[in-house]
Amino acid sequence: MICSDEFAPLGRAESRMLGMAGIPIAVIPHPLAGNKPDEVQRKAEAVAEEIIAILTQPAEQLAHAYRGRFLQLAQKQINKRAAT
Amino acid sequence: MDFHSDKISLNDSLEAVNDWFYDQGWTDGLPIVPPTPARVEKLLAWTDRDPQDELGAVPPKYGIATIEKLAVNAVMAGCLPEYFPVVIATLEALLEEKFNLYAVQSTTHPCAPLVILNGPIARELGVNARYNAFGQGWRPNATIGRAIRFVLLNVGGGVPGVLDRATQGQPAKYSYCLAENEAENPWTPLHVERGFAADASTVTVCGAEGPHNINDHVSTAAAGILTTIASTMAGMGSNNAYAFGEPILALGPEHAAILARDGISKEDIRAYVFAHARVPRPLWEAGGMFGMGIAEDLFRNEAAVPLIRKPEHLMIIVAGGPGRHSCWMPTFGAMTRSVTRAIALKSGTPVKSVQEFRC
Repeated sequence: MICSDEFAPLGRAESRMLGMAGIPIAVIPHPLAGNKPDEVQRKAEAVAEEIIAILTQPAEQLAHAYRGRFLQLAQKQINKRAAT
Repeated sequence: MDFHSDKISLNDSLEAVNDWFYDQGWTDGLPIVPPTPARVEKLLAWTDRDPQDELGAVPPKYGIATIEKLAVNAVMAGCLPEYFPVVIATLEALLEEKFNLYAVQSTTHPCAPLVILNGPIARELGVNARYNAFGQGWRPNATIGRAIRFVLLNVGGGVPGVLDRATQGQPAKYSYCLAENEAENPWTPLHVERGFAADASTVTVCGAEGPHNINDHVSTAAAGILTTIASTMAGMGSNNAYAFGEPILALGPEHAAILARDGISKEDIRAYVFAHARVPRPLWEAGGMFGMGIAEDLFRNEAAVPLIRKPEHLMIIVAGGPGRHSCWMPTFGAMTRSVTRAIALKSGTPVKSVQEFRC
């Protein structure tokens, strides 16, 4: 899965519901819309290595690495909101 | 009563309870009514369902909506116990697949579930349909919608900025509930149009923006009012302009009376809006959602693009009190469809009064 950083927690919540709690999510900087071609190129190049790793590494290893990543981010956002 | 929810002990002060609930992220920012077991039990006396009956999983977190969880959230929102059957029917409607609650909850679009009540229970509970129907001042309007918001937040996980991705949101996300003004509707009310008996009580849910005013102070004939309606709706900024769906037209009773007096039916209004609430194609292609591949091929040969794919997709209700205002609500587009459900016993038998739920 590829998400913008803003939407990665939502992607993780949905993947958990679908029974794929550890599916890797490669992240690109938000936003997706309104990018000029050179920005698209830059964002694609920055994430290419991670996507290659996701496509080539063992699934179990990836699941272990990615499982909790964006849940923690979501929790941090909640905590930050509660603290402000 | 044997509750499944966690029991929490806090200092016995409104401030302490509200500070704690707010810090958990469980409120809308306004004070809540502390959901004590005694208060929750009072709501549960107004349903024939078991507290652990499940209505379904509420996206995007997919928490399970039990009757008990609904009651807790409805107490927090300030619902009177007799409102509880409406909260249950509304959540059932929101969980129907075609409403697409996942998208409505998680989109960047500012849509909120608009709850429209029809039939005798709306009158029995005193749900406001007249002056300021979309505004403040009536307890059922304020708290039924708020109860739904709390369920979407606390069971569905719709935390703003986390799983609720609304860019700006809108005030109707606090509560968005009214009754149709059936007494001053010169045509057929919404629920009867949708196949329910006139004395059935229903909830209709739509994933809608806030009301956009349609002010026509001067027209004394249908033609002028229809022109003002179509002109107000015909813009590029709504999802409906590119993704169609079922926008809602809420006619003030004075506008409705003039239209009906001049022999205009709901079908005529729909045909007019379909024909005239359009964005000229060059403008339509200059921004908005053009090029996103949603429906560019539709109306390809037309000089201007309508907001609805078919005339019958325009929802029409009568709402409000005296005055020369109507309004329309753009929706999230065809990604959500409105749902109407009868307020009914667990068996599915519709009720004529909430008293039938007393157990």
